[in-house]
Amino acid sequence: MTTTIQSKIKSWITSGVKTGMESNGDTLKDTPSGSISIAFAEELSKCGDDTVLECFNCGTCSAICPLVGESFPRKMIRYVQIGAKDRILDNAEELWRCLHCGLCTRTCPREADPGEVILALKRFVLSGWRRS
Amino acid sequence: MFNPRDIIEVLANNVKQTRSPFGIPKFLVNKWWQKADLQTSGEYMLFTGLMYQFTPFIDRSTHYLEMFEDTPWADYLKYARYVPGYLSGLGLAVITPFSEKRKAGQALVDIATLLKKSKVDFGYDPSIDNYSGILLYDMGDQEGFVRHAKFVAKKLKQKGIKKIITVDPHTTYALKVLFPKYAGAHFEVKPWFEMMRLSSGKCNMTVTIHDPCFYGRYLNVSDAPRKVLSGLGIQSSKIRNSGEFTSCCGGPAESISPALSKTIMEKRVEELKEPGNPIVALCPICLGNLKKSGANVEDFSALVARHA
Repeated sequence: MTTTIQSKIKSWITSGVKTGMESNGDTLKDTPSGSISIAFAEELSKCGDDTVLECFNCGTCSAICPLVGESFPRKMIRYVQIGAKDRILDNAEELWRCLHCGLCTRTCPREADPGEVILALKRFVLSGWRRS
Repeated sequence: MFNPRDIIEVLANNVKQTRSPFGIPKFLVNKWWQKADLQTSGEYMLFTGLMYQFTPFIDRSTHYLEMFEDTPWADYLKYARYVPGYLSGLGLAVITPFSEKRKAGQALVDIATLLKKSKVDFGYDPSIDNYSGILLYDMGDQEGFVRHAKFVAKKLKQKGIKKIITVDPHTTYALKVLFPKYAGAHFEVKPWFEMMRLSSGKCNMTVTIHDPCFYGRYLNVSDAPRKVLSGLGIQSSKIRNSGEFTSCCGGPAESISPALSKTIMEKRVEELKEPGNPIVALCPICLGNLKKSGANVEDFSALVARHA
């Protein structure tokens, strides 16, 4: 399971955002924007989400979201896919703007359940805050 | 916007210490049943989850949050988690107007009356009617939610409860979907309007229903309230976003950002006002939030009780 997810993510990273990155085991260093955590989607699955890699970034969720104009929740989902954990943590407060209305999940053509991804991210961030 | 952590920790500590997100002791919140002449047991147990009872306290606390959002005073909220839950709860109870507290219970009186009219065999036991913990779930405090849900479910199981009637969408979703999944507690859960068996009426009016997200989308029960209304001769107007594709009222954001909540609410109110008919809400959170616009909006139970 872990290997499948990691290989999927590695293929995304190498096809999409490889410029400027250096591989170092499970972490890829990207100097301008922080480190890439390849296993982040796997880490998030412990918080209740295992659908994030289904997303193919069509943007339906952002178009239908009442917070329209903020690329939400698409941006956060993309960060999870490419393992940009630092970007999520830097913008963590944004997660709580989500109204949990479920329109994104209802309209997602890939059944990637964006609403559940955001909820899982809230759980992930909150448990990190509490540990710190 | 407030720091979410400050809000979450206050709510979580209050639930942990007092079983209420606002820290207010239950005997000060839950009084509606005292004059309702209800039996304590029956085939179904009426379970309010205290959401209607909380609305005046939510209004009062969001009133203060609105005043301090995005001001230097907002930073002081981080110290609120160190105030004992009962203390802050009693404070909130004191500053909340009595008239508002009394009005909040009216929807529950109406619902109980309508259940009796529909010949439903139900009881109400205030000792096992607790807050469901849904706000903790929505905020991402999974550990706190599961702990609280297990407490609530245990109380119900100890009394041998198997069938439950709920009155709001958040509690319905919690009991129907989340309790089986996270607390291992399985009940037969029905929202109150699904139990209505009222004699037909001949009203000649049209209203606009605001479907709550949890009823419309998560639970797919938007047809039932419309059937109740059509039985009374009340039509519901068609609007662009309804049923499964209903729009949010903005209520869920009111603790984290009252300003955001207001923006979302204003957009939704525009949609609801378009047909020019009175607006009907099926959720205490939606009702409280939509009312802030000054629009002509009332609870579904009040409308049905008036015409049944």
